[in-house]
Amino acid sequence: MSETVLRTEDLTVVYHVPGGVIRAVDGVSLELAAGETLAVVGESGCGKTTLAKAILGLERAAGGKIVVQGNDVTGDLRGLAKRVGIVWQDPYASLDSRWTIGDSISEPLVIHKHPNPRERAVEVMKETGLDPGLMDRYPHQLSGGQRQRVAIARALALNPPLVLCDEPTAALDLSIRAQILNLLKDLQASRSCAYLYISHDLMTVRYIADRVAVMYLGRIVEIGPTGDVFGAPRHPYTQALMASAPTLELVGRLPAVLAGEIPDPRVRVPGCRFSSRCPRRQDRCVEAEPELTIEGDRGYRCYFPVSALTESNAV
Amino acid sequence: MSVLEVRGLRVAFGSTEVLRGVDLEVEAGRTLGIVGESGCGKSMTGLAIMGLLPYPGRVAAGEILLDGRDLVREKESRLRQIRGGDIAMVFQDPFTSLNPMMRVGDQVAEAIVLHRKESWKRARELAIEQLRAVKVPSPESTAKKFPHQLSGGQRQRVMIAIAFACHPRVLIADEPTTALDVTLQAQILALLKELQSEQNTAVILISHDIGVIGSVSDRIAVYYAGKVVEEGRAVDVLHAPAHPYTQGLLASLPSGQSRLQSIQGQPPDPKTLGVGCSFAVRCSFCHEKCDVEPGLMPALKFRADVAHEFGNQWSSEDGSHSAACWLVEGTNV
Repeated sequence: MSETVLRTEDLTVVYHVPGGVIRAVDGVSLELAAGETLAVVGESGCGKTTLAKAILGLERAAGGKIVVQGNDVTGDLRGLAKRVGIVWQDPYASLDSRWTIGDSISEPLVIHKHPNPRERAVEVMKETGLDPGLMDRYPHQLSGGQRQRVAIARALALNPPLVLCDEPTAALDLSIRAQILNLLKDLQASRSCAYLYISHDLMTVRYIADRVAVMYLGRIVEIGPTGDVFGAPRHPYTQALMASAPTLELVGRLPAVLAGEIPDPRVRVPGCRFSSRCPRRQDRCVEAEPELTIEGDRGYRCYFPVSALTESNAV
Repeated sequence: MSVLEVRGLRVAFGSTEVLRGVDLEVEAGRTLGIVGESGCGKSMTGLAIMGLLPYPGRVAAGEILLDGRDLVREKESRLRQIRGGDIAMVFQDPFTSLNPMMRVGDQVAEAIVLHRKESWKRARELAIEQLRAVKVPSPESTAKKFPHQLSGGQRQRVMIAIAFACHPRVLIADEPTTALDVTLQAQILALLKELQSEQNTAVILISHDIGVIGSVSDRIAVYYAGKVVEEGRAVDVLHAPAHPYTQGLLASLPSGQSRLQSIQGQPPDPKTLGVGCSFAVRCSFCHEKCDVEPGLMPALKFRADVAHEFGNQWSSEDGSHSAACWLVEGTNV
């Protein structure tokens, strides 16, 4: 087993909103090893972006711990900034439009007192497939794909052991998306950094992730190796999520429909969070929330999991 | 018989052409999927059909025939009757396309008052029926709410209620599920399909998401740089693509963990399009012939052998398949 880069223990983020309290991230514990990609998937409001923000120190953790490379960095912004890179969804919004590309990429190097920020910026531009001649251009002069390469270069400038990617390809066209995904994979192979990859795009996740965590209303409801979770989901929500994504194998067939919507997160129910929409619900599910069941290298929170052999193939 | 037919449509902004001669047709009860990347002109097609091109865009040439009548030549007053009546549209983001100051029930009723000439009292009753038809929970109370009080999925249901309120002949749905999560997307697609088959509506679905297009379309038109580069039955286009661009798009979709085949370069800027095939600079099959821009030509060799898997669903349909690429020339002997 390689070195653990990121560990969160019982991480909790709470928002106080009119009408109640939202536990946007509610007791999330996960581990990420060097060179590994863990994808966090789920629908809007499930807490996946809040989780990323908490790990970056952009949201204060109400409880729990964030440990990067053995150092407890909960609340330590400077310690975090050096060790964690971030690639946001929309590079047009995340890059300063009045700064040159070179300045944007060098900024983290200057802040952390790198001896030759300009040289390192050229180096990292080459690694991300950018012509160093673009150094003095502004973001609006680049294409969408190039801008996202700039954002990746900036995130990797300090060689952080951990990079968070929050929907890095959602704003890109299909033909460009493949280029960026390949780039992320190549960069990981050459520097063995760990990616925490936040996305709702299951096809992309299946391609890029080694392991997947499925979130619903602030909780991880299922986690495990990508092939296992996609191939034989145990949690009914995972199963429904996979089934509602259209696939090209089924031309002319509508994806399966999971009824209902994510309930109001301010209202806390005693039982399983998914029980209001779950086709497998029984009395027990609304009485108490299921604990995490561990099976080998995967885990799920469900009393009545989908059985691996009989049902998942039938969907 | 096609309800809507577009012939040689050219749309220009000043001297820049964003649509460069597009032919489309869609039959009652059928769905035409338009797929392409940003800037390829797919949304402009929908707006041109609706007569809603943003200034200074204009239809430079071509015909848009609704039941044989050319909308390009209609007066604005007649177009106002057609918009929302015979041709309805659902946009990507219901939050910006609904009126934030008006109760959603009244927004549905407004369409009924304008196009079905009902009284407001009667229209409000019909609006509640319409909201029930799109499966909004407790339609009576939802009708009294404002858009911001609804979830994204409910807002899109309201948009669909407005669109179907006047039994349109044609529905144009421009990225109707792009702002939604996958489970809601599946709900909305199923709802559109259900209403379409009840009312026998011709649907044009515009999306950048090939998965969405593939799951609901009967026929697919692939756009590139303001032109249709491939057109055919959904199963043919997706399982036996003839144009290198379509092939590249499908290969760049992740499937499993094998390395992605990306298309090199990026989509062209319509301002700087040269002569010849617009895809040539990115195409790995490019040869001398590509200096001349190819038109759509039959690509019957590229018929999916898998069609039998889909049973009789396809048998009554026009099996033509065409692509704008010199590679398919002469493959049909």
